[in-house]
Amino acid sequence: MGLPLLEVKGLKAYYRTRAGEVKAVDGVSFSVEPKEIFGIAGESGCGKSTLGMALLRLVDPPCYVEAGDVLFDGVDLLELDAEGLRTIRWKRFSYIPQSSMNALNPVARIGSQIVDAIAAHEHLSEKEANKRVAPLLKGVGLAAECADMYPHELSGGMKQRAIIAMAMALGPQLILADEPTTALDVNVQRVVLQALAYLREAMGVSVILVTHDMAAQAEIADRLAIMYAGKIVEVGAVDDVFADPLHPYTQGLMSAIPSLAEKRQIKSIPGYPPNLLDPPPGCRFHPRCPVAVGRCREEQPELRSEARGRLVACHLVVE
Amino acid sequence: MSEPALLELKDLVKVYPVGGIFSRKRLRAVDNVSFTMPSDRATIATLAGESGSGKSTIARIVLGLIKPTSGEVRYKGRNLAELSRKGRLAYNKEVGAVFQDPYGTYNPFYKVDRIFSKAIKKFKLASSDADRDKLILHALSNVGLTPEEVLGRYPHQLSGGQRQRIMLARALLIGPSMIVADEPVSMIDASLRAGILNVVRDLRDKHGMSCLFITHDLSVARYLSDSIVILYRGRALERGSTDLVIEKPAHPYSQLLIGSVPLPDPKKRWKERIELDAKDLLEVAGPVAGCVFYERCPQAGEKCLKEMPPSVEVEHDHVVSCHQYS
Amino acid sequence: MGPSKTSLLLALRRVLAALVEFPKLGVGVAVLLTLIVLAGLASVLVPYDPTSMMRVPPDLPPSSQHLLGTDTLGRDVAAQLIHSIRQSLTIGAMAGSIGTLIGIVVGFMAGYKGGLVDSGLRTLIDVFLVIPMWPLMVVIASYVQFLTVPVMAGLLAAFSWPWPARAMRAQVMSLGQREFVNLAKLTNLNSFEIAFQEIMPNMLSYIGANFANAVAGAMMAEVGLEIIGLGPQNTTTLGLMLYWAMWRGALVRGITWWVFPPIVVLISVFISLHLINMGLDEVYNPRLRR
Repeated sequence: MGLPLLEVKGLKAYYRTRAGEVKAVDGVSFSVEPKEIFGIAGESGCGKSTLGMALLRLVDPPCYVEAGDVLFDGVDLLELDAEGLRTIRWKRFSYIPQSSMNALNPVARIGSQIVDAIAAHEHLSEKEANKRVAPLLKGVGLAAECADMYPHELSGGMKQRAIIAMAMALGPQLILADEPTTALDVNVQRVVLQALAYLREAMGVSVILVTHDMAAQAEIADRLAIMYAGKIVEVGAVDDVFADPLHPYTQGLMSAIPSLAEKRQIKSIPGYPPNLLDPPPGCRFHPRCPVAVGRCREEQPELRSEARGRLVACHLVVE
Repeated sequence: MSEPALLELKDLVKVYPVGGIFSRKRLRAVDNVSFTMPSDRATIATLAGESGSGKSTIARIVLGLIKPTSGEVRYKGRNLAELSRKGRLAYNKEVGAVFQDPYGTYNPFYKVDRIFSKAIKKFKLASSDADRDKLILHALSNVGLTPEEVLGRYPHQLSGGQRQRIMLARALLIGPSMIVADEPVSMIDASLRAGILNVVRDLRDKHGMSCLFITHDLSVARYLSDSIVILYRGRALERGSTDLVIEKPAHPYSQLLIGSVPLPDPKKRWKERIELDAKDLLEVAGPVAGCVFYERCPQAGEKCLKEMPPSVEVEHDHVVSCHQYS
Repeated sequence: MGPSKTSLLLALRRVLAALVEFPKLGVGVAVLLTLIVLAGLASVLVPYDPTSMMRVPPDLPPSSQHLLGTDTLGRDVAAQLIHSIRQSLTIGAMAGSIGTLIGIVVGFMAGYKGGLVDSGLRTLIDVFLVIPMWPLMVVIASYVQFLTVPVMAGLLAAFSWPWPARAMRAQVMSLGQREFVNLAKLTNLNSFEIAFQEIMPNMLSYIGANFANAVAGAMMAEVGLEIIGLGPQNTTTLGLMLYWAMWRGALVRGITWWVFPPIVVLISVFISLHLINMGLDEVYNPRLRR
C-alpha cells in the first residue's frame, strides 16, 4: 500500500474578521492515495474552496491556517520555508482555481503562458520548454494549433483544458481542481471530466476534485468526502456513498438531485447552511437534521470509522 | 380550437452583426425557430441547449427586451411587434420574468422590499398599505419564505437561493399568465435547487401559470417540464413531449447531449470518451444551407450538407429535424 | 428625539467611523474642511478689505502682529490669504459643480439613450477634449470686460464638463447592462426613472470622485489664469496673490512670506482633494483596501 500521497490531519483555517472568527475549515482530516480521484463535495459556504487553498498555503489574510498538518509524501507543507514550498507547489502538487479560465492572460498566446509556467519553476531554455507544450495540449484533448491562439479565440471548455494543461506542465503527482466544470456546457463538461480521468489512468496523477456537482463526482471520483459547515461528515468509496449514504446530510443531498434517468420527487434540505461566525452548538447539521436527538445539540460528533469502511461523523450512525 | 395559443413563435430569426464596421459576418443567434405553448392548460415548456444555442436570446425576445430580425411572436394571438406602448405595459404584467443571476437582478442600493413595492405600484396591484402587505406575505409564503427572513434586508445579506425565491414571489405577486425563467437555478448550488424547482412546479400545478423554462441542464428539464425544444446554434433540432424526447431521442445531437449528462450514479458512467474538435463550437457561421449540426454529426450524409432537413413527426408529439427520418 | 434626529445622529456616527477607518479619506476631509471653515469665517476674521493698499507698513516679516507678515503693497498677508482661500475655493467649487452637473446630464443622455444621441454627444465631448483648453481660456478671459468670481467660474465650468461627461457616460453604459435595469424595464419603469432611480444611486461615489477631480482641475486652471493676471479684478485669490508677488519680484527680494503661504494652501487643497478621491475609491472598492 505505501504512504498516502497526501495526508491532512486536523486542518483549521479561520478568517479573522472584525466580527469574530469565521471557522471556514474546522478540523478536517483525510488522505489521498496515488492514482485516485478524491472528490470533496458540499454546498457553497461549506469551506471546500478555502480547504483547497489552505492545502497549498494560498490563503491570504484575513484567512490564516490555525492548526493542522498537510503531509505531502511525508513532508509537512505547512512547515516548509518558501524555497521548499516552491519545489513542491506546482511541480508536484498543482492547483486549478475556480473560474481559472478567466485568469488567463488575455494578451499572451496559450503556448507562451504554458512556457511561462514551466520557466517559473524549472531552469529550462525556452526551446526546451516549448517542446513540452504540444504533448501537454494533446493530453487534454486540444489540438497543437491551440498553442498559437489567444484566450479569446478559445471557447470556455478549451480554456479550461488549457488551464489543466498548465497545471500538468511540470508533471505533478497531485492536482487540486476547484470547480473545474461550472459554467461549462454539458458536452464540454464531459470532455473536461474525461480529461481529468485520463490523467489518472494514463499518467498516474491523483486529482482532488472539489465540486458541488454530485453527478460529476459520480462520474469520475473514486472516493468521496462530503463537507458541511467546515467539517467533513462522511468519507467513503463513491459507489458506497451514493448507494447507501449514511450521514443525514448526505442522504439529504442525494434526494435533492434530479436524475435524467428517472423521474422522482426531489426535495431541498430545509433551512440554510449555518453562519460560520457562530455555528450551532454540537453537531453543526442538527438544526436541519430530520433525525437529530438531544445529544446532537450538545456534543460534536467525531469522524469515525464505520464497519463498512466508511468514515462518518454522526452520533446516530457510529456508536 | 378557436382559442389562440398562449405563446406562439413563428419562424423567429435574430441576426447579429459581428466583427468590425466593415465585417460582413453575421451571427444567426436564432434561426427560424417555431413552437407553441397551449392556452387550455398550464404547462412548463423547456428550451434546452448549450451556450450559443440561442435559448436566452429567444427568452429575451419573448420578454420584449430584444427585437427579432424577422418572424413573429404572438401572445394570445396578438403580435408582439404590433403592440402599442400601452399594450406593451399591459404585456409586462401578463408575462413575468425570472433571470439567471441572483446577484445581478437586484439593485444593490435598495432593500429587497423595493422589488415588491415597485411592482405593486407600477402594476397597480394594491390600493392600500394593508393590501400591499397582505399580497407580499401571501407571495412569500408560496415560495417558502417568511417576511421576517427577508424583508428589510439588502440583497447582499441574503443567499442566492433566497434571492431567486424572492424573484419567483415577485412573479407570483404580479399574477401573470406566463413566466419566462432563464436558467433560474444554474447559479444556485446543486443541493438547493430542488426547493426552487418545486416552486416553479407549484406555479403550474397550484396557480395555473405556464412557464417557459430555459436551461442547459437536461436533468432539470426532465424533472419539471411537459414539453421540450432542443436547440443547437439557433435551430430547433427536436421538440415534443419531454418524456418522449428524453427517453427516445431521435436527433443525433439530442442523443449526444443526453448521453453526456452525468448521472448521479457511479454505476452508470459514460462508456466512451468523446472527442470534440479543436474548433469546438466557436465558429461564427453565416447562414448554413444544410443541417447546422453537420460538422459534428456522426451520421451526417451528403444531403445534410446541402439541404435543410425537414421537420418530421416521428410519433405523436415528437418532431425532429433530420434527414434520417424523411 | 424624533426618528429623524436619531437617524441623523446614526448617519453622522457612521460617517465619522468611516473617516477613521479610511485614513486617506479622513485626512483629506479634515484638511479640506479646515480650509472651508477658514474660508467661511473670512468676513468674521477679517472684517475689512484686505486688498486696500498701504494700510500697514510694507515688507514686514512674520511677527505676532502680522502672523504672515506684510507684502510690498502694504497689506497683511494672513488677511489676504484667508480671503483668497474663500474666493479660490468658491470659484473652484462653483466651476466643479457646474461642470460635473453638465457632465452628468450629457453623460447620462449619451450613455443611456445610445444610438444617434450618443454618437452626437460623444463627438461633442471629444471636440472639447481636443481643444487646447488653457490658451482658449486665456484668450476669452482677456477679452471679457469685467472678470468677476461668477464669470470666472462659468468660464472654467465651460471647459471642465467634458471629462466628467465621458466618465459618466462609460459608467452609465456599463450599469445599463446590468440585469436589474432589465428587470426595471419589465416593471414598466420609464427611462427617467431608470436613469435616476436605478442607475444614479449606484454611481454616487463615482460622481463624488469626479466632482473632486473637477474641482481640482478647475482650481488648477484658475490659478493658471490668475498667475498671469487674468483673475477676478475686484477681489483677491490665491493665484492673484502669486501674481502680485511675482510682479513685485518678491522671491528675488527675499519676501518669501508673501510667496509660500498661497503655494502651501494650494498644495494642501490639491492633496486633500486627491486623498478624498483615493479614499472614496477605497470605501467603495473593498479590494483596494490594505
